[in-house]
Amino acid sequence: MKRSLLVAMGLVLSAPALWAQENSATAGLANQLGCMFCHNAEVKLVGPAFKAVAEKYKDQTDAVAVLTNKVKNGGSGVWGRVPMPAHALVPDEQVKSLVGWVLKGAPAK
Amino acid sequence: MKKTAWALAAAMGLATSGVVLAESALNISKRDIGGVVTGAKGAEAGVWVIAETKDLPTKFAKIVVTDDKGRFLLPEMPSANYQIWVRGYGLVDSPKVTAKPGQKLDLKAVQAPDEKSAAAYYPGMYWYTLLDIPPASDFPGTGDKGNGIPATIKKQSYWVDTIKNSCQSCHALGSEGMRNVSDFYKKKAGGDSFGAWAHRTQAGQAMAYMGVAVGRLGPDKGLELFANWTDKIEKGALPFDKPKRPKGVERNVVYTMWDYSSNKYYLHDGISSDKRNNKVNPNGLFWGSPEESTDRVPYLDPVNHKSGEVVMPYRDPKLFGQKEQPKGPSAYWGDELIWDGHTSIHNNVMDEAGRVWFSARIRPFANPDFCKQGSDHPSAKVLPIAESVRQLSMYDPAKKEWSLINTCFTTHHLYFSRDKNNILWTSAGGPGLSAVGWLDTKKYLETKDEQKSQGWTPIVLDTNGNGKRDAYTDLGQPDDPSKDKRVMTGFYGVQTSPADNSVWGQSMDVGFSRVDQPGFLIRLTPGSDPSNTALAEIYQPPEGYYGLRGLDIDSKGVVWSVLSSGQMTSFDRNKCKGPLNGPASATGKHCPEGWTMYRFPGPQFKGVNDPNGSAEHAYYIAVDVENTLGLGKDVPVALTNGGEALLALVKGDWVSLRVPYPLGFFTKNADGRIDDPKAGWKGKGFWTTSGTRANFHGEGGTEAYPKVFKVQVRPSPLAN
Repeated sequence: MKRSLLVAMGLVLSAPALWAQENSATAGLANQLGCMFCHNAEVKLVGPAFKAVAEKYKDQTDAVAVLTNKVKNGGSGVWGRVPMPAHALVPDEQVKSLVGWVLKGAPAK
Repeated sequence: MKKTAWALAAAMGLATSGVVLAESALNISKRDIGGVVTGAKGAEAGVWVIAETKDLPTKFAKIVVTDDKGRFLLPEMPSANYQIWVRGYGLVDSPKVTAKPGQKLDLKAVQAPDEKSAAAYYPGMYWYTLLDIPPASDFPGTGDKGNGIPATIKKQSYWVDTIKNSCQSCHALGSEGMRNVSDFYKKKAGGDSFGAWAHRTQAGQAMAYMGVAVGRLGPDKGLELFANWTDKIEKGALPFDKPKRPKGVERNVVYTMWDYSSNKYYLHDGISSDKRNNKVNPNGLFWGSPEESTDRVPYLDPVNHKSGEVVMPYRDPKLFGQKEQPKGPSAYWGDELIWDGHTSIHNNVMDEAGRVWFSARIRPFANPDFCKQGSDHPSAKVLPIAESVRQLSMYDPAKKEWSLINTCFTTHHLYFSRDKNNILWTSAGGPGLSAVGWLDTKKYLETKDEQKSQGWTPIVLDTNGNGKRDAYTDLGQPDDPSKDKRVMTGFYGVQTSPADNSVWGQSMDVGFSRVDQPGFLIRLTPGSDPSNTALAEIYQPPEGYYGLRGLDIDSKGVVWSVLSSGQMTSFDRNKCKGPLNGPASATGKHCPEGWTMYRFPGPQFKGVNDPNGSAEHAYYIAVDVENTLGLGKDVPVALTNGGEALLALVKGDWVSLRVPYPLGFFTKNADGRIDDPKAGWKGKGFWTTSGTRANFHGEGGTEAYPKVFKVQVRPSPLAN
């Protein structure tokens, strides 16, 4: 949405730089919050690879809502036997940012 | 009812049986408590007598062992009322009785009614061996679509090294709280034990660390095996081997212990004196390092039995804290966040003036500019460093002042050199942090100039064999026979040699490092300008041995370490026959003749077909160069948290000083101190502290505080 808007406004040159900055910041946030102890962009660790998550939910219209709920409240059964722990104290804005980033395949930059 | 009858009988036995047996041989002074322990078959030899009191400013306990006639003597007891009981293999705890110093006290041991009751007192290792290890044929793993073991776990040794040097780095595996799974987690998982293990490894403020270890094992396979282990125990499985009671000199030991810090915190290390001179800080304070748990550095005054704390400050208020870490509900603490630390105070050492130096975090990871590319700092010109995970701090008890030292390199363990500048050499932790850093403490104390007082060097081998450091191939570059070679062997353990002041390091194996390379011993010769002149040699244990962890060095320059393959090991560089530099030295396999292996006592995991190793795991090793313990000079002591003991190697024989109370003894370092050189065994001791991250898994549960332990070996079991 945001990207479309930028393109529509003719800001194609500056858009990649802006997105790079956001991705990088969110990757840092994922590190800071400890997401990367159990997840990796490419391969399964304790939890699924973020790219696999992005692939699974790519056509699901309520993906953001589903994953936001998963991060906040935890859950199990989608990716195997190990449950995803709840992260109820992570602020909504940060969860939103993380989920958006995961759905892009968790780019480092 | 039956238990009450036992207690009553024991209490009666106290009054009738002991006096006659004990009468003639015990010399009980006003400061001692002594007597005889008898059981169903007469004298109980090699059992522990434990005395504990809450009358002093901090909780205090002392433990001794009975001799071959069942006699015991608790020496030098501070004036107080003590609760005293008998613990031993083949027994259950006797009822506690009250006594005071100067009192003769005979005790009746209580036979264990069954094997299960007896096994409750075995060291955790005996229970841990019930854990199934995937057979060697399962490796390399075939991933989550195959056998559940990641392909990165290429050998069975990788697996064993992981469950020891990852899981057992923090937990006393096999101790009561580990071998049983709380109903809290079972309930969360709907009764499924796999799910219960998943939840317990997501509990508390260390869930992220545990996630890494679980991920490394392959979560489905790893958790399944741990769940099977505790299921098996819940259904009644018992250890297939039994520990033996203390014998010989093991019966001469005296353990003295004090509570300090808080039941919500844990300690990583502690220090009583200067490693280079054990006469420093006589009768002084013992200092702990509380790692992630808190910034409150605890101390113990062992003379007055008082504890206290000083709070370590940090330089940058933006430094993240443990309360912001991922966390999950705990069976022990619910949603309470028990850790409040920011400073990650990992390890501490004492200098010649009694100042305490800490590897600790003073700011977020990003390094200041003087560490980075483009800086004029002499070390940054050689190896710029963008981030460091921990830096240094120092507390001067005399001045009650903290100093925070902003190092570019990451610190993990610390030791001083034996030279006029008192260089503080540091390790970094994992092999990937491949710089060796130091602080010239003389210069620092004189100038307080943290930039000019520090330096660091990459670890470079003299692979071109010309005897000096010159151009080198960097990490990841192909070898070049005309050049030296930089290697990725960042130090975990670090120590300087009493023999020649060379600097030795030890790098971690795959189970800890998650880097697919073996662990090494590393000898570093700093040279005149270490950033540019330091040259390293690396040495790899012989084929079949793995998992080096920690090191110490005896007065002759022999390096001692412990292995997760289940041995203590020594490495004597003087035994090496071939050249120690040149292209052949790059693998570290060039001196197998330098190594000697000593298999740890105790059983091996059933699934591991290696009779040369045991399931024992030691976190670190300390060489008692000055004979503070009482077993002789230069005695290496493994800090075994499987056998829950200080395990000393004395002239080729093991002396196991198991700390029987509280159950679950787990320590990570130790040092010796001489308080009075003229006082014999009474004037010295070997000091250590609780090291598990989860004291509450052990005896005492959430009421258990971290402890300071002083260990002494007397000339005889009845010496006072």
